Amino acid sequence: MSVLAVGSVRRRGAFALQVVAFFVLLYLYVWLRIEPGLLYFRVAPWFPHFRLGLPFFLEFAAYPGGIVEYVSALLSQFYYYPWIGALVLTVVGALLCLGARVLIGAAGGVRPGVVHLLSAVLLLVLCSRYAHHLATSLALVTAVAGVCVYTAIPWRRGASRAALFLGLCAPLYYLAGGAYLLYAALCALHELVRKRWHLGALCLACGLVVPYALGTCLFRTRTIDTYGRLLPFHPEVEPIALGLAVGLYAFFPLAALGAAARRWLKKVQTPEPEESSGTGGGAGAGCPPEAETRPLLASAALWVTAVAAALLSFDGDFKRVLQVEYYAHRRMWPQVLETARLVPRRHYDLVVYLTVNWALYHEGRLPHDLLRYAQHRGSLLRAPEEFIPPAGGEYTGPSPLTYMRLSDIYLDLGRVNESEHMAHEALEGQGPRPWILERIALVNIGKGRTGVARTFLRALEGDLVYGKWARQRLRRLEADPSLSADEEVARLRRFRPQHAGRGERSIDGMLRALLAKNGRNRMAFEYLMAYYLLTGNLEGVVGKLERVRGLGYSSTPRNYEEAAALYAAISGRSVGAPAASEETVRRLRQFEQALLRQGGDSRAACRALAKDYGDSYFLYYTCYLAPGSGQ
Amino acid sequence: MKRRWRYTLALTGLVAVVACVLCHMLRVRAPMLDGQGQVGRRARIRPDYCDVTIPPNIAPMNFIIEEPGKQYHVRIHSTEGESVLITAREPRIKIPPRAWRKLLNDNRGEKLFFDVYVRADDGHWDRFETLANTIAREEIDPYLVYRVINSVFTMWQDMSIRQRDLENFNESVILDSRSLDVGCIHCHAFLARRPDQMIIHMRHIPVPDGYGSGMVLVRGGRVVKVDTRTARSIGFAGIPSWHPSGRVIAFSMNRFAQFFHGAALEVRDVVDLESDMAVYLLDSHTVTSTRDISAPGVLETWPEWSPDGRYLYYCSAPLTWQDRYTAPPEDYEQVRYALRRIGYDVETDTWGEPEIVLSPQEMGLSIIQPRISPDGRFLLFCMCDYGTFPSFRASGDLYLMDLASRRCRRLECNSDRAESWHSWSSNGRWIVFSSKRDDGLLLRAYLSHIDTNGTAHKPFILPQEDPAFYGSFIRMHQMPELVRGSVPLRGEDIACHLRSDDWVRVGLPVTAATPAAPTRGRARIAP
Repeated sequence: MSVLAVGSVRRRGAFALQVVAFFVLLYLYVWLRIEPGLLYFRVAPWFPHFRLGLPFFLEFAAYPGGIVEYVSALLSQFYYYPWIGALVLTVVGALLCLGARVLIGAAGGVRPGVVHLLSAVLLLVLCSRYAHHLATSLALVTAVAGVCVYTAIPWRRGASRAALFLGLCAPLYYLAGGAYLLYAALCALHELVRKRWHLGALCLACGLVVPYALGTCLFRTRTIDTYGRLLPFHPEVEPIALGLAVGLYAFFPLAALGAAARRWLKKVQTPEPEESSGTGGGAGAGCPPEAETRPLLASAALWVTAVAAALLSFDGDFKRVLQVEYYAHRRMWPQVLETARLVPRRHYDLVVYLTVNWALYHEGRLPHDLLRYAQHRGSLLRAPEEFIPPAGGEYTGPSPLTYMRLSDIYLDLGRVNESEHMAHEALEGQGPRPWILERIALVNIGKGRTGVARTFLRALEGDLVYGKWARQRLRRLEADPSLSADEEVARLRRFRPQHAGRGERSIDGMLRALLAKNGRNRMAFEYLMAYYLLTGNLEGVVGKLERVRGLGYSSTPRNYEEAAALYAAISGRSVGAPAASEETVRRLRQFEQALLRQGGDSRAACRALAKDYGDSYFLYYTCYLAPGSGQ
Repeated sequence: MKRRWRYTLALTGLVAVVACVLCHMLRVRAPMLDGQGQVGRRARIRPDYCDVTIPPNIAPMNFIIEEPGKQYHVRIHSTEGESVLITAREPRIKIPPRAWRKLLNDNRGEKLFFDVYVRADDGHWDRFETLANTIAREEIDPYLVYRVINSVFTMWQDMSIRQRDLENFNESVILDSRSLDVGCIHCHAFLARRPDQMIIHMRHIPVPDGYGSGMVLVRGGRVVKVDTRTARSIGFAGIPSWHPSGRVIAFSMNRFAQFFHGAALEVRDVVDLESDMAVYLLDSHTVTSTRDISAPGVLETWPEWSPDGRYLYYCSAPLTWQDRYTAPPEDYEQVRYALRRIGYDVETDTWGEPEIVLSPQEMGLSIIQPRISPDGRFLLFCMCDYGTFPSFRASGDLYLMDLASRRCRRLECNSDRAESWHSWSSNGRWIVFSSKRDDGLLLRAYLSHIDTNGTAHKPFILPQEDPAFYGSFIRMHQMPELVRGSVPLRGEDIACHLRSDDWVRVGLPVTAATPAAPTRGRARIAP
């Protein structure tokens, strides 16, 4: 073997090693930093549900692009297992790179170096923004695969190439929907740079005609679906992915165009016979010295770009919001609270508020640490009636995730009907996500409607992740239709109100009714007290203080004591046992003095006092609730 | 070369032998029916297709045998023709369509028997008592149009109006809410069960941000959007009824409000805070009414024309609350609707005197959703303990009134759960209705035969190709309407019009037309 050949082999080996390293790092980054599991639990209408079985498949088979969407829905379920989810995304990235490599090679007549790896970098950026883009990306892979087949078959006769293009048209359009347009565009580009004008024109014309013929006329899809389904700008593609996905789609024609331009320039500078192109080894034997360094520079540029893209595009704040949701799903309460502290206030939406307070209750910290986290009057709970549009009015409800969180909380409280109501709202908003079906089944078991429970459990049977659980539950239902031995079901039946009065439509009405039915319902008590605290109902807090002893608290929780001390100070009435401790009263006096020291600017005073009294009810009441606080 | 051929032949032969052995092992054996054990009861099957009367043109009624076994055999037979034999390893029994169709067609008016055999683990066959059904002489309309929707509470997003060919399992979407970027589509109705004359109502964000709300008329190949609101309307057109002449559509305008129960089994409830009725004259694009059906202190709703077009039947109740925006009002549980009718002359657009057909005081229940049989003989309606939405009331049941004698009675096809949303077939021998009898939550379409005496036979659920379909179907078949053929315009044919800005606006205000039309005496109630 000659020295030159050895050098070439080494270079190829180094290149292969580099590619492998790139994808290994990409996989680890997606798995460990991005954590696809967060996407699985992220409630967004863009995340597809999936069921095993022919009927579900046939729903997708009924329109162009449906097959790719079906595959995407199937693969998306594996996000539940983060390492497999990361593998799925890495493989998609690898396929895109492979497609780009073939494409650039075909357009430029040379090996593309590391440029093709940029497509995986773009995919990484999409992942870093937590956009669910799998269907769009798979459609892109399908379209590019079609182009690769088209370019790889070396037929030269115009008629043969036209037949090849047309032969691929229908299956590609059916599989990939609107992404077919990219196939048509890239094929046209391929022909136009080779000056086969007629073929290029045919490809472009077919780009418009085939979707119309198949989509509009045969499948009777609407225009936006005919041409746009699975393209980044389609309404069913996640908006935050729009720009990035457009970039990913644009990469392929731009890369092909760039390669073709480079080839043309080379040809102009050093004319050589057509036959030699495409067979060279890129920076091959007898290359000038800069050809040796160019790949190194390109590699360095790629790595810098990849690292910069990963760092700059990563949305850490959004990840924390998703983590809060993820941990809440798994009932990992300490992690919920720990992560929630890191979520910036601008990302606090109703779901985060609700989740934090829910976790605080489960950690036994709601009466103590309520005000260690951001709160407002409505951050504890919402009554279902609040979401009903006015008669004849438009619907303006909260996010689907809010509904499901409210369903969680109502279930824990024992308000089964409200939990069922919220779960059905979530079902309409999110589609049949497994935990929603699970919830509806559970509440109906609690209500003794096992027929409904069976239907929802059977619907869940086809789920890849929750199917096993559903089958187990169905078997238990068969054995004992009332599930009387089930602790959770027994609890629901114990807590569930038998009669509901008119006044129970408000939050405090519901919570008071729960307490009236079962005085040991600690969650109802803590939520009622928290509700009174957050809405400034000092009298309500004081009125319920006597229950503290019966519910087994070792001492009166701090926030309750603070409210009692405030009540006594404001109303001048004495508070019955358990009253506020001397320490709390002393702290209130200190707070008042500190407030006076701050002068007349209440805003400035609140800001200054937040450091020492940030988690105290004195500050919350004075700065956020008291009339004229303006905050 | 020869050796290679020899090897190839030997390998092919080996593969063939293995394939034959496998086929033999896996084949579904026809049962040896001699000497089978008798089980002294009927086999449990799902859906419940036993003792039912079925149309001769219905799709195969596939079912699941809910008996343990390792092999199943069913013999379907009647008086004439060959039996249909099905043997399967699974308890899912799928009936061959062609043989089924022939059997039903050859045996109109006869009994249809299902002999069920189950092979036990020890290899012997058990024969259950024969399941008997009846094949009616009269066919059912070939298409059923219904709305497929989740069990929605407040938010709605995903719904579609679909048609199902009752003679097979083909289902197609007439209109999907997603084609309107999530709009509400509801209250589909037809002119005398004609598929080419259809009304749909749409609700969407007001123009220009959305596509608007109103009545959609699909007539032949034309789609027209009509905004029926006038200066005196309380809202959009709601529940419609098409006059037999095709020239007039009566509709209600309702201010429905939802509220929820904290303890009852059914969480949802609806109250009609205010309602009126009016008619839309198609020729002149005008909306008219009379004070008798749009009185300020009265709730009027559920219009239904008599087949001769001379009367408009409707339901009404006194409006007892002042606040028409807050739900639920104080005494919503006391609201019980009466069944009334009023004469109408379509030629002159003149109204007669209203009269009570059936009073809630006599029935002790609220009377709603009147639907008259095509021959004008029977009036099928719902009654429930209160209010206007029987599908949310477990007490909701179907009743039938003989319009000649005005005697009415509770139908035999009711269950202890809600029945509602009923309609007649063209020949008046079949009804379809939505029922929650299966589980108390999800509405399913049930079909029942009505004989010449007005007796409703045991209903059966709309057959599906997969007999396990309903076991995991978490959506509902709501508002089923029987029609005489396939709706010609579907999907984008309609949706593209709905997305357009072309609204027909009615220019004239609601006016009180003049009285003059025949009236009849009050109803007599059967004990």
